[in-house]
Amino acid sequence: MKKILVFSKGGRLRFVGHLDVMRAFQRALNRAGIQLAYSQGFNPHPLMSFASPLSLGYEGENEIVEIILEKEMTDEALFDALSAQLPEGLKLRSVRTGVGQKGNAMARLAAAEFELKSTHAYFTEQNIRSFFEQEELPVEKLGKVKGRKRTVTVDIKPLIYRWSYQDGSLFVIGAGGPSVNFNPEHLLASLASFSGLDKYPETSISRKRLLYEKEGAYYPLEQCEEL
Amino acid sequence: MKVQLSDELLLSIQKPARYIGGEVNSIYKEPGFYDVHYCFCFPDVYDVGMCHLGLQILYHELNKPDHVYCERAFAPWPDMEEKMREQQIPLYSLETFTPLKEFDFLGFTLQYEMSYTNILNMLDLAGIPLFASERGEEAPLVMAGGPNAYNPEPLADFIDLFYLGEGEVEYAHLFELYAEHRKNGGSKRDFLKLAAQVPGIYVPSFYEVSYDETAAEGCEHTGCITSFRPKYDFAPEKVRKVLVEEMDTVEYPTKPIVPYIQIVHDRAAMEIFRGCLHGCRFCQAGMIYRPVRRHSRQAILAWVDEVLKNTGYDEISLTSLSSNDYPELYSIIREIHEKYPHIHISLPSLRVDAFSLALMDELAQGKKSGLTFAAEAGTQRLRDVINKGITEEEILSGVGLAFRGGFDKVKLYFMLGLPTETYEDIEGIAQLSKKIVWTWNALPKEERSADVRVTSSTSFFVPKPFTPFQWCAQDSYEHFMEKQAFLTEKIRHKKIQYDCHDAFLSTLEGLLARGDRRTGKLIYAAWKNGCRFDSWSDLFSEAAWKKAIEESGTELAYYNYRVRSREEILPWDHIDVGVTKRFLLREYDKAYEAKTTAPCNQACSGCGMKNLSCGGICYETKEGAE
Repeated sequence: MKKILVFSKGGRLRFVGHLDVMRAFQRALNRAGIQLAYSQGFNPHPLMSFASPLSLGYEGENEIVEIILEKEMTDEALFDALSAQLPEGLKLRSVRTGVGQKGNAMARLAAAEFELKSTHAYFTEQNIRSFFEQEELPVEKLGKVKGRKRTVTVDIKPLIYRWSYQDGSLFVIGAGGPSVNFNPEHLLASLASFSGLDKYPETSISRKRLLYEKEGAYYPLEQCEEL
Repeated sequence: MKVQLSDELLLSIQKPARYIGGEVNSIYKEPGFYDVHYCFCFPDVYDVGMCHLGLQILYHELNKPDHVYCERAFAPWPDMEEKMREQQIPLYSLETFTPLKEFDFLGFTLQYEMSYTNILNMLDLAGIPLFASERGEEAPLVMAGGPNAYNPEPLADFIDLFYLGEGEVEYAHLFELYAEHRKNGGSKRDFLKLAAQVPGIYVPSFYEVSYDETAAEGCEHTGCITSFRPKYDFAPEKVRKVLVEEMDTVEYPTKPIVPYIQIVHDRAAMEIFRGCLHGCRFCQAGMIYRPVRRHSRQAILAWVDEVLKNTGYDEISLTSLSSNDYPELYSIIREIHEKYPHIHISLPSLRVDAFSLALMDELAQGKKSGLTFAAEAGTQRLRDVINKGITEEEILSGVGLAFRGGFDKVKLYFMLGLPTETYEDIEGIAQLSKKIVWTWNALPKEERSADVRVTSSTSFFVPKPFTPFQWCAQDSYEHFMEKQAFLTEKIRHKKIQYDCHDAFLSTLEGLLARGDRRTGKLIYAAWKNGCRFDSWSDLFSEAAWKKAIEESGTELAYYNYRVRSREEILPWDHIDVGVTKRFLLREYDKAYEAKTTAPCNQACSGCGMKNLSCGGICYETKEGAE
């Protein structure tokens, strides 16, 4: 039986990496006595898949993980049992039953919304608006040119679908998915460089939700009927 | 004042989760409700310290009464240390981010000699004076315990009190005394007088040592100890270790802290028994953890149920010094495996024979791990000298069975520099390693694994206190290097990988293991020269240690290269671990005649434990040696 879990990650848990969060979830499920189904083959592992890893330091408000249960269970029972075992910093928001026997949220992921916040001078509304008026939003990153590691300049503007500024926060919806990924740290690096800084000062990054695409519009990934 | 770490700092270092606490099963107690605030300090990085079983046991034990709160601290990795010094962030506890200097007690665990510089560094990072004599009322009382505490002298300058023995016994009493004393307005310094009278507690400042003005034989200026005695009559002449007599009376922790990050051993562990019956002569653990005391079958099985429920781990480990000696081991393992088929069971220290192989096969769940043999010496003669009761026949028949069962990796542990060692013995190491490969070769192709990999690893023998070899000279650094080169040549084979330990590190271990009060100067000099994380090869600095040896005037000729006389006062003579000097001397003599001593369950050799405990394997046999 497949279940789709939506959870938030914050507080101290921001400093725990994705692989460790996976393990923490697995252990919480074990403690709750919830048996996951195992894969076949030589090295069986519990069937659990996360829609998208969250980078170290980011907060996540609506992260998604799909699990396959060994035995049937109601959404409420799962919600209560697992919530009681999750450590502080990981909070279950919702549980719903899915279709099929494997995780496919990752395949349906199309975009993600981020909230960026900083009290530093480079983050004024005026500065940000001017920044977005540019034709291109260049960022330097390490890439491979002809097989060798080089610093290349990449334009991230095409990866940004929508942005808005409100009360000191910058909201950005960027491309996400198997082939191409918007990285909010690149946006901050570009903004910093635009503002004459070497690197971007302390800025909080929160991934607000994951999105899937349907007929040109974006919706919360956990609501996708295909999951 | 709680320490606060900025996001920027945490994101600029490796593995920030080492420093944030908040793990599942970590304990939080409200301030104002406890009288004694204790911080367990492991002198290595979080990833290593969190594997330490003793930490989980003590943490659980000390936090049982409401009036004591035990938190944890570890040595920050150099990248974090740099930031802490830059930003003047004092070393703090993981549960509440309280600076260590605000605690009542700090408790360091002494697991290995090369962690001593980390102890000094942690005190320094905490803003606490390193020398006990310089600490006033505002500083915490600094305690130390663990296996190395049986020779406390090298750290005597830095530690206020040592706890000798098993943690479950006297801590509760000690802290009740402390709480009462403080309530009556007593000072921390006066508390030490009370503490000195608690069994197992050794307060070094209450004792004085005098040394011979004439240098010992072969030495330039270091003289032997001429006397060691208490300065006051409330300090005992000898401090006897404390131990748990009935293992099942102590509650084994069923809610160990579960770290977020991947640590060296990521699993729940339980000791199935303490102590060891074999009496290998080089082994300090075998002597200091006597007598053998087991946990009952019910206790072990109950623990497995509870711990899995409370942690969610998918691996458990049942540990001891020699697991085959637990009588119902196989049936217990089978029972656990049947009940929890997805749980991996790890069994270190298992001797290799037909039964254990069959068991390992069952548990492997398809994965074939390697086999390990601690042969320790290359010839039977030398194995008899060290009383290591494993024969070549046992090893070769064991590997034969293993290869037929599909195992393809064998690991062998040896030591170089053992007493009476000759080059013939060293060549024996190469021979034995090759014989294993030949055993594999001799099997028909269909009956054996596809390939074979033998890893032979040598460490350098370090004589330890409270072993029959405590009077031996340690082999010199030059000899170590010569022997290593000799073996490297002899063992050359494409199926054999030869690993060896750092010879200089072993020389240092030798210094610190049998050091005395004067050795504190060396440790301080090493720390001042920047030595930290000495057991990490990429951080160990041979040059800094060599400089420290010179600066402190520590003579290797005295501590390492000298045979000690039987009448000499040893720096640890005032500690009583139960095993008597008479017994150790008997074993010392037998060693040089290559005569073996039977394990405790076959014949009592009169080690002295009978005087100390009222339980344990000693009483299972009728025979006695004295």
